[in-house]
Amino acid sequence: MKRLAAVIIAGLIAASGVLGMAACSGGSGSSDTVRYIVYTGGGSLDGAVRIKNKVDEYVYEKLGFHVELNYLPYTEYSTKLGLMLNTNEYFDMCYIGSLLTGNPYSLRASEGYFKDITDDLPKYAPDIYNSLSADVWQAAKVNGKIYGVVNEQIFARSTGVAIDKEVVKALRDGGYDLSQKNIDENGVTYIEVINKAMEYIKGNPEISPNGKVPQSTLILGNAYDDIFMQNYSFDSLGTSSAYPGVIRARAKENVSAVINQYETEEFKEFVTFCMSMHEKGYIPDGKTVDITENQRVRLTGTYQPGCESDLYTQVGREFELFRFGTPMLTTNNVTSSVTAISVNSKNTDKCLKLLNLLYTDKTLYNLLAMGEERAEYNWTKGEMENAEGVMEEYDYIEYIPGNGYSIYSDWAFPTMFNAYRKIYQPADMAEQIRKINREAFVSVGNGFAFVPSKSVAKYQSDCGREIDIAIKQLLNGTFRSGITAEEFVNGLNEKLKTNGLDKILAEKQAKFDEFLAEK
Amino acid sequence: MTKKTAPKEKKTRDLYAKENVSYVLMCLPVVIKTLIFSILPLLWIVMAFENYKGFQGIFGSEWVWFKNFEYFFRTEIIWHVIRNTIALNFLFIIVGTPTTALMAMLMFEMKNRFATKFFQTIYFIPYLISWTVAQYCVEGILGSNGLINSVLSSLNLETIKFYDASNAHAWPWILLICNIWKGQGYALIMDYASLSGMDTELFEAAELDGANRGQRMWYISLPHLRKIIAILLIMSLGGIFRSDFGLFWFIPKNDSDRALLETTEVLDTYIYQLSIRETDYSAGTAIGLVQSVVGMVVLLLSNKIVKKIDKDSAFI
Amino acid sequence: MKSKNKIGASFAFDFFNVLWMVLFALFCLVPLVIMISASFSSDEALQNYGYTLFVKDWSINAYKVVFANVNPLLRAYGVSIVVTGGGTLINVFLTALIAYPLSKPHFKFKNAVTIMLLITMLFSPGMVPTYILITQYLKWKNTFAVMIIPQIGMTFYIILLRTFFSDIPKEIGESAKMDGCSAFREFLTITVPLSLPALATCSILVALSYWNDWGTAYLYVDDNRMWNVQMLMINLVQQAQEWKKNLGQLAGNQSSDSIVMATCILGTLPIMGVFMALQKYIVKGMTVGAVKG
Repeated sequence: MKRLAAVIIAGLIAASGVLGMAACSGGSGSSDTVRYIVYTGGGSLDGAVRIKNKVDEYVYEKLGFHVELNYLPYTEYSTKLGLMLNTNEYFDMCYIGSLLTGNPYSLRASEGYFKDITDDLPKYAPDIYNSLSADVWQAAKVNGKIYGVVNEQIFARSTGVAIDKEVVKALRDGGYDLSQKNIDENGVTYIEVINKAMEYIKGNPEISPNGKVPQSTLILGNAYDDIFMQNYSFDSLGTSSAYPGVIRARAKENVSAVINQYETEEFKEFVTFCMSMHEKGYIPDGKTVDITENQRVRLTGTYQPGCESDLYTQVGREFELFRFGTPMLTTNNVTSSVTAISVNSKNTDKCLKLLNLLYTDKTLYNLLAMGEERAEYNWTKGEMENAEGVMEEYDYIEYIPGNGYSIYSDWAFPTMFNAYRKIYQPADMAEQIRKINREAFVSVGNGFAFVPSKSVAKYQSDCGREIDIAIKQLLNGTFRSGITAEEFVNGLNEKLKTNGLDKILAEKQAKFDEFLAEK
Repeated sequence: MTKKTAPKEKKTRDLYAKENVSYVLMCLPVVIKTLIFSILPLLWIVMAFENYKGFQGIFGSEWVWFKNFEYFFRTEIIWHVIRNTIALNFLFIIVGTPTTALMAMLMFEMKNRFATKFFQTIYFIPYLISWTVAQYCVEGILGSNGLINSVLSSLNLETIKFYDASNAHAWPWILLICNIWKGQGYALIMDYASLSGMDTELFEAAELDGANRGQRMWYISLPHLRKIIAILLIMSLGGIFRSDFGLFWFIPKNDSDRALLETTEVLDTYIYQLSIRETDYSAGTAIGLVQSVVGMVVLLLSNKIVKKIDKDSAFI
Repeated sequence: MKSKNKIGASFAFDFFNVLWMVLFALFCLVPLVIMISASFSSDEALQNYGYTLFVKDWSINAYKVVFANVNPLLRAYGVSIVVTGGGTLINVFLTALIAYPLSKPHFKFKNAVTIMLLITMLFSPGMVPTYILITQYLKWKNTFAVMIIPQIGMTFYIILLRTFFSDIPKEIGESAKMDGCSAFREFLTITVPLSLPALATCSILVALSYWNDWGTAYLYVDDNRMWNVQMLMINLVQQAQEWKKNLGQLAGNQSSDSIVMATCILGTLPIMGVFMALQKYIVKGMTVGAVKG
């Protein structure tokens, strides 16, 4: 036993020696290289080294310091970023977002992992700071301070559904006029639009290629966020939208009341809709069914001018877009893409300068987001109807298939409006989107991000787990067959109650009231 | 006499002392590696008592003592997860142990050496497959257009959605089958090896007495296996709080779909989930610590029992 | 008459015994057969008939896709082979080296070392400290060291070998010692040759864990030139599923499921080969276990 003790003591002494070193050094970083963790949307990174060097060269030429890019694919981004933060690994800045599971921006910022840049931002990145509105910077504030540079994109999110042009035309010929005007003014809901389109597709299998199973056309994937939260204008106050506790942002009265969204009539309606989609057989079921080829109706996470272009590149067909609800600014919507600077970074000024350069310099942005001309994309000529209805010739870039650098994350950099024009994108896309952002409705919760106390955080994550299970069942169609929407909703709410729902709502309400009082 | 043995004893002592030096040297590489990679990092277990933040390190973080444990045991889910862990482990032990013993005895009755080798090799193959790959194999059978459903639909019968939450109650059995599929070959060899070390005279004597094969298995083979069964049983009881991570993470698709958590979530996957998805390493460490302490107590107890049965087989 | 009955019963027993063994063998093999048949099936066949035991419509498209980019594949095989081969050799040697003194009753620190090993088996330090150690102090990201060294000296294998070594008759060692043979030489010239089955068993299990190890590569290898087969496999699978989800255009018309299956097969075959080569030792070696009958 004595020897055991000796061994353990020796081990502890050795350990504390190493630890002592750990406490002193705490990661190392070079002062003339900015280490930037880049989010990638999952594509080929074979050519990443080439682009890395080019970006470094370009930045060095313009700003006089080096930049080291570290690409992290979306599949492992949150895990690895969480590990880097938790182990104090050195980096200067990284992409982070309000919806990043496990590492939401507001939570990590409030815990102190990121640098307060309230003062440095106007100094070193004036172009970004001045061109984004005060509402946007308000949203980026956590406890009154700015901890990250908001990446410009469409902030005022609203959702929509993209429907194959052929289907829209056929419906119109059949006497059902589906137009944006119709949806906006005549109170037509998403339920009706999607049902009509799906009904047509199911009834006309010949429009699916190769005569394959026609029902495989709609994926509900993110329907919870895309339809439920946005369509009914709920604001989840800076937490993951799945967590209980939202406000009705557009309510005429009692706007600041934090309610459980799963107990609302709207949720019941949404559940009924999802269930009916499965029961009618509209949702792809088989693992091997090729969704893309058959896709005729698709929920677009974010409705924005020009997103027909992305759909065209992905599905290879032309779509018409319909928007539900009206755009709204919330903390989550604005901070869904932020670049934050690590609290350990010694290069705050350089980081901000680099971001500012990305914001102003088209060449650099496109090099980082798209790659190089002739290697990743080519310029092509196309024709498109302009605002006056006249056909107009324009230049656009076209990806070279199988290229070595496709990161699909152009929205994770300071402004995606620097991107070269793509097919079917209107010439003034950036202007249109900026206008939407400017004119959007601002939720009363904009700028408030709920950061729960440790014990409520546990309840929140347990509730989140139950919700996650339930919503996945709903969207994937794996709910108990024969269950009614009523039973489904009640079952979920019961589970939430046993997992501390009331405590979450109470704390969220209290902190929100505090925020409003200060405001 | 005494005068003669004394130098010999001394010689042995000297020899032992000299040998001990070489023994220490032989141990060193692994001991050093273990100290660095396994013992030293154990200091981070204090994370369980802290509100750990990466940039503050384990020395700078705020001490919350038992708060992490408190948060955690106050919730409903943990009890549910503990129940799953224990129940599933019991199921595996109760079904797995007799099945393995029976298979080993049957295999031992098969006197053709080539055949035994052949079957052993085949049974061992699933053991070589990683759970990530096994996931796709299982999906190929149970998935919506997997083997079973292909057969059902070709017979015009209604297909079964195995990955449905509504079928969650079937999953303990599915996991049991998967566990047997993957682990049987490995477990079998232990029992079989024990049987092949048995005295063949007993068998011959029994044959002369006119015992049939069934009787022979029941009266000779089984009693011979009793000890190893007992030991393996106790050892697996020692691991009652732990589980094969891959089996519970990949096979019921808890990494992606999570529709079957109700019956398939166990402590190991829960901890992983806490650390990886929610990056709450403090809570993960706290639960891991509870798991380790319980595991240690059970293991020490079972080690004591093993020692009573067979001294050589004990760990310590 | 009696003996005839008995022979009949015995035959019936054998028959059902073999039948059962064959059925169980099929149970073990069916998932693999499905995997192989799916990897050779065409897109249409998988969609129309689902998974089947026999290929309905042959196609090697999936393999074409996987082999289209053959360089990363070869490189990943190279990494995996170096790690598995080199790692297994070093690992088993060092494991045996520590197991040997532990099998000697008169080794002074026997209990201390055993307890240390048991602690490592019971308490795992978690990911954070290990990650800090490897990335910040050792700076082992993207090295062979990180893929090999952390797995060395697993307690289970040490106990397995220790038990086997202590079964070797003492007299053999004693006589060698009388001839002035050092402990290390005794280990090399007597213990090792006598324990080949146990070492082979250990090797196959260790090799298996090296080959199937994706966690290490996932955490510590971000340079895709240092990916091992498992990591490449996971990436191919992810890509295939990505194609299925929304990037159909880029993938052409491959069925992603057959690609997944083909990658799985390519990732599993080599280790099966190693197993076949070593399997004649495995039953003998397993006799050991931590337990003897």
